[in-house]
Amino acid sequence: MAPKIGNRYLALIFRLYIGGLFIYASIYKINYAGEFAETIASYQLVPFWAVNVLALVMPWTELFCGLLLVAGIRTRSVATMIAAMLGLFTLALAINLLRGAPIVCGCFRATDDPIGWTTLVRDLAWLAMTVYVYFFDSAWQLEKLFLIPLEEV
Amino acid sequence: MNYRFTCTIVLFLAFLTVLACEQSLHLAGQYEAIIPFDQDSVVTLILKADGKGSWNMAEAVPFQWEARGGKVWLHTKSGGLIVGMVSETRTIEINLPGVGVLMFKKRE
Amino acid sequence: MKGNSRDHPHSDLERNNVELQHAVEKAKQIQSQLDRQVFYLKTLYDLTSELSPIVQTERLLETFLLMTIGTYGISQGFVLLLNRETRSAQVVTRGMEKPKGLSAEAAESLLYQSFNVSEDKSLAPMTVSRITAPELLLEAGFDIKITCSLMFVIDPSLMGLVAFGTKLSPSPLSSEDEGLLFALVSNFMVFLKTARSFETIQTLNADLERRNQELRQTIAELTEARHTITVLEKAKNHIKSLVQWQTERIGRLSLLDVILILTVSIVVGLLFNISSPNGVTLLPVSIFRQSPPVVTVLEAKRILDEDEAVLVDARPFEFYKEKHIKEAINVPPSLFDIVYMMKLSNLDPQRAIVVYGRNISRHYDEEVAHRLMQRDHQDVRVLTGGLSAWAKHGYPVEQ
Repeated sequence: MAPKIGNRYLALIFRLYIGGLFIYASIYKINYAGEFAETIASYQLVPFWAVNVLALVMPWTELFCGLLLVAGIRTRSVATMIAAMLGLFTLALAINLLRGAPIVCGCFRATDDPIGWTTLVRDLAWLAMTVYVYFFDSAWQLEKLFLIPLEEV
Repeated sequence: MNYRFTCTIVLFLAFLTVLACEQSLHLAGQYEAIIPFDQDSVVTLILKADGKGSWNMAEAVPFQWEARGGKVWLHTKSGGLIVGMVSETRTIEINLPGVGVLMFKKRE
Repeated sequence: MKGNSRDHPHSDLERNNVELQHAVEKAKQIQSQLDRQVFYLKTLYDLTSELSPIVQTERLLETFLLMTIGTYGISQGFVLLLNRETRSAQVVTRGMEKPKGLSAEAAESLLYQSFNVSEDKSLAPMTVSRITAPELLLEAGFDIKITCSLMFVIDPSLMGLVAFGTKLSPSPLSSEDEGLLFALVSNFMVFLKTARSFETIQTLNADLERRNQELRQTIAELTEARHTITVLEKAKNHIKSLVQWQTERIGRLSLLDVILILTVSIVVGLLFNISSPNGVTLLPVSIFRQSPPVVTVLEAKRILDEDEAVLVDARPFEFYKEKHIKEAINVPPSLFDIVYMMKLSNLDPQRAIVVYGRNISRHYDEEVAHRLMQRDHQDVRVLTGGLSAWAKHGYPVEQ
């Protein structure tokens, strides 16, 4: 809300990075929904009847959010959704770290490195970047290109 | 404004292109391995060029495969993933959980 | 004296007679003059009453010419009227051809020449003047043998010529006749002036009517334009509010956007799953299937100890590696076909198999048990309570 504190171009870099990250993360999961369902199941948090539905829908949500964030359309809404997803991932990670579950992250594909506190810190860093984007992003928003001329009417 | 828009689109498309990594077609072929605990049995691994393949012993189990940076990934229909290391001697080394290490050698 | 008076009665009578005759003669003359005056007055009256109902200049000219030549018994004649305001010349003829192609300019020129040869040389309004050199009319193209021609000026912008040919009777025009002609022309000018005023009023009226029509049309167009403007104004306001709404949404979090993205994700995800070769079932199949038979920890321990059963850990390898029941074989459902083929394909179908391993998200044991039953294993049972129940009983586990 206070552009003097935040830098809009730093926000833009974060926005492109997080958006790209989510697009990249979604591609594998979309292609191999079965493997992603196994990953979700390994976290032991989602009820068994919801695992497959979640495995089908979440990667597409990641993809659309990633695309919209990169393009700069509805940035705040999308950043909020991404922050919510990252928050959930971080929470799930934390719970399983405390449980000591021998699982892999599954953040990008089925055979990631096993989860650790570094994974948690990484996720928190991404979350922070997303929050930064939420508050300070204003540069290169595709949406504005179309709406500014209309405002002048 | 149009210039920025075009740049964004081009960068994005380039990004997607890089993502769609190419299949290493040179891996396609037929491989054989001896089961460590049963020296008489042989497993045949068939990797077709179109990304399909099968794990053959008493029966054939289909899967999809792809090459990713010196490794070959086998995706089963039921959500399983087997990762094999590709060596320079045209051998694929697969550590199958609960079974052990299988050395698949390419059959000419 | 008496004789004298007797001698002269005859001559007196004769003288009286002569005087009487003179008087009669004079009375006749006076009578004749009176008759002529009456005739003139009647002519004037007739012309006035004929012209008074006419308001069109053209008809006035025709009627005047017709009546005048009738009155005098003249065979031919014409009237030329020039309106300098409207730059128009009108010619009416009787007993002769109309000159061809007489323009307003030519008429004006002719009138100018006539003025130069007129008696009075006056342009005062409502005056009539004789033209002394009527030959110029012949030169202007009027084929007429002129006995009398007059120029009249109604006002500086309206003037004309009247010319008459020879009479049918051999007698020439008397001075009284000419006087009457002047009177008739003067009278005629009054009607022309009135007609011109009437025509001016008519023109003004027509003009007014046209302007009225234009005004009505303009008002109609304005009304339509106002209607269009109202519609456009509405559209503008609508677009403006839409744009404002969209613009406001850019800068803030919108629940609608979130719902929209989620809805699209759900729809696309489900559609993609239907068409994808790697698609998965929406709900776990175990929900719709009959649960496989179960076995208690105690019973399982007994049959395993007696070597009557094989123990299968159905969880993913990472969980198996971390901790499993001693001597359990790891057959996760995701790799079931491959692992089964390599490790259990030689197993006797009659032999009992105990399967365990489930969590909140997956019933691995049921999935594997079902697949084993599909491969004709007769005695497949799921261990109640799984690994934790086994461990609670203090039975051996490997870590």
